[in-house]
Amino acid sequence: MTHKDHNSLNRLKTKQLTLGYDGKAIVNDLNITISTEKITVLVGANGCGKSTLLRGLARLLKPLKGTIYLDGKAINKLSTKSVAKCLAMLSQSPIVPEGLTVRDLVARGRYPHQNWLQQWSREDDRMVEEALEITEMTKMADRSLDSLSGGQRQRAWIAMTLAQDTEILLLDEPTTYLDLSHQIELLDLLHDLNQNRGKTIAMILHDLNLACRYADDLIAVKQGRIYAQGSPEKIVTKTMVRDVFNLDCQIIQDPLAGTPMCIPIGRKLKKFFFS
Amino acid sequence: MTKQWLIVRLKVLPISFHVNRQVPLILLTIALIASIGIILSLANGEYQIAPLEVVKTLFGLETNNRDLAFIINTLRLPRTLVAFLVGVGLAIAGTITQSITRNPLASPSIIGINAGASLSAVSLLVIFPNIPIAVLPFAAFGGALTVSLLIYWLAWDGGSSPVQLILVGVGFSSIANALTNLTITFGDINHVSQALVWLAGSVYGRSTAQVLALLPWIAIFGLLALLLASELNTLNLGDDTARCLGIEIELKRGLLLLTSTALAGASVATAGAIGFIGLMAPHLARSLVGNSHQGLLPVAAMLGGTIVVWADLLGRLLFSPIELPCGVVTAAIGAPYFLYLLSQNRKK
Repeated sequence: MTHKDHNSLNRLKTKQLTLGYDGKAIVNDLNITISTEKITVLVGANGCGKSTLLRGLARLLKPLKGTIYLDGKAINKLSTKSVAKCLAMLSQSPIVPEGLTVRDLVARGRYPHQNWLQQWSREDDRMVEEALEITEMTKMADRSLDSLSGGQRQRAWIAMTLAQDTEILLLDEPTTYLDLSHQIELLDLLHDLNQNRGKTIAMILHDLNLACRYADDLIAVKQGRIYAQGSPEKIVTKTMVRDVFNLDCQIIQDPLAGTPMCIPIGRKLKKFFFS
Repeated sequence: MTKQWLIVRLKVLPISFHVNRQVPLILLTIALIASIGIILSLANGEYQIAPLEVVKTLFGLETNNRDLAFIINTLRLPRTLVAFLVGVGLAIAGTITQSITRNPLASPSIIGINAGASLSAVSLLVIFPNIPIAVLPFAAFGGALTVSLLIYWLAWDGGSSPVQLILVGVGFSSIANALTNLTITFGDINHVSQALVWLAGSVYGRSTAQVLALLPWIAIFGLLALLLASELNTLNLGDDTARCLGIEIELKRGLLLLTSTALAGASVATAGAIGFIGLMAPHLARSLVGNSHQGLLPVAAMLGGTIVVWADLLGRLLFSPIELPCGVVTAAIGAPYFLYLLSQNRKK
């Protein structure tokens, strides 16, 4: 199945989705669509439910109400292995077994394509090499994950999700713990994957300015509901930032990218300019 | 292409997998150490036999003494085979519990699975002394399964709390041991003595019948564990990642826990409480070949078998003519090892 088959179709949708823990709803009655072959970025204040939403989309959480649809079928009715061939997710701080090498980790991304007896096909080999190449981890493939820097480790995890060979990629704050240059490097990698390989990417980012620069589609989440969804140019306004992040700001145009840029005000500046 | 892996793809059968490149060499080395242990073990006893004669007899070659075949094949071989198989079973069981809990301390002897097996086997020995040997593994399996289910129910918590799991397991161990002692105290003295020898964790006087009762359990569930190597690799990455990779977590973890319980139960049923093998062997194997279970399981299994064979041999040689049960020897090595791992774990 190539990504072209579903070009016009948006593959991942929710209908009146309510998610939560221990019966307590965190995300309420949500109807969203993740645009195929686009980069969608979820933004919102801490604890607004964006992580919960992403976990729900990856079927890590059972919906309390409503349904998630993958290619028009309810996701929890599909076999978990067939979902894993379409949809990969990288959680925020995944567990790394001690002493695991990069190549071993990337190889584990092939699990949904294997069975009890065929645990390593030629296709598995090829996909792992390709994933290492794309993420520029080939040279570090035989190194243990513990010995890598944060940026390299994150690239190794991305390589694992690439080896999984899915068209949809969900990422929960992939840039956390990375310094600025590595954040940009990682986002560029994701942008390339979207442009060159038609990957559908949905991720959570904390930095609103980077979100504006890389997102085709921005979803602002407030208290478990969608506050606004659309292109950054359309939805990022002073009012939106105040409502969603409870922050006063000014919005200017990014001098390089032309996308909206949020200049936060805060108490320190308020004293100077507004008293 | 990588130099780190050895990729195996059979042409005749649809089987393929990859292991750490060093696995064959390491397996060969351990097999050599095991063979030396087995030969010395067969040579040693009230009647000393030269190692070369042992090898000749094993391969069915002509020797000077006609009695050798009887002494070695009938009297001594079952004991050594039982030692090896029990080590294999406990090591695989330990590798599984350690990997699915992501906890290097979670071996069947520490979380009480072995104690559960002991309890039901001792009860059976004391209450129904005339039952056939082949029934014992089933009874032990039942006891082990009961404890596993109780632990799963009370302390699993997504495998996220290693300390809780250990504490609850130690609690179950104590309860099961207390009940075992109770059974022994009130049991018929003639039947109890048989249970007591067994309880110390010994392979003394094991017969061919016991080898044959144990072998299918180790073979079937050992093979099942190997088939589930990919699942172990995946579960080892944590529940979230495993679920995203498309594994039916509860089903596969249940199957793995069942496999582990069967292996531990059958081993304990045959040789009593030989402790710490399920702790040491997987840990040593992991440091040798890494965390991929296609290589880790066979290496851990071979190490387990080798350790028990040598423990049995040392138990006989150290204070000869007094014979130490091999469970005492493995505990003497294993308990310090456990403390070492515990202190390593705390530093993290």
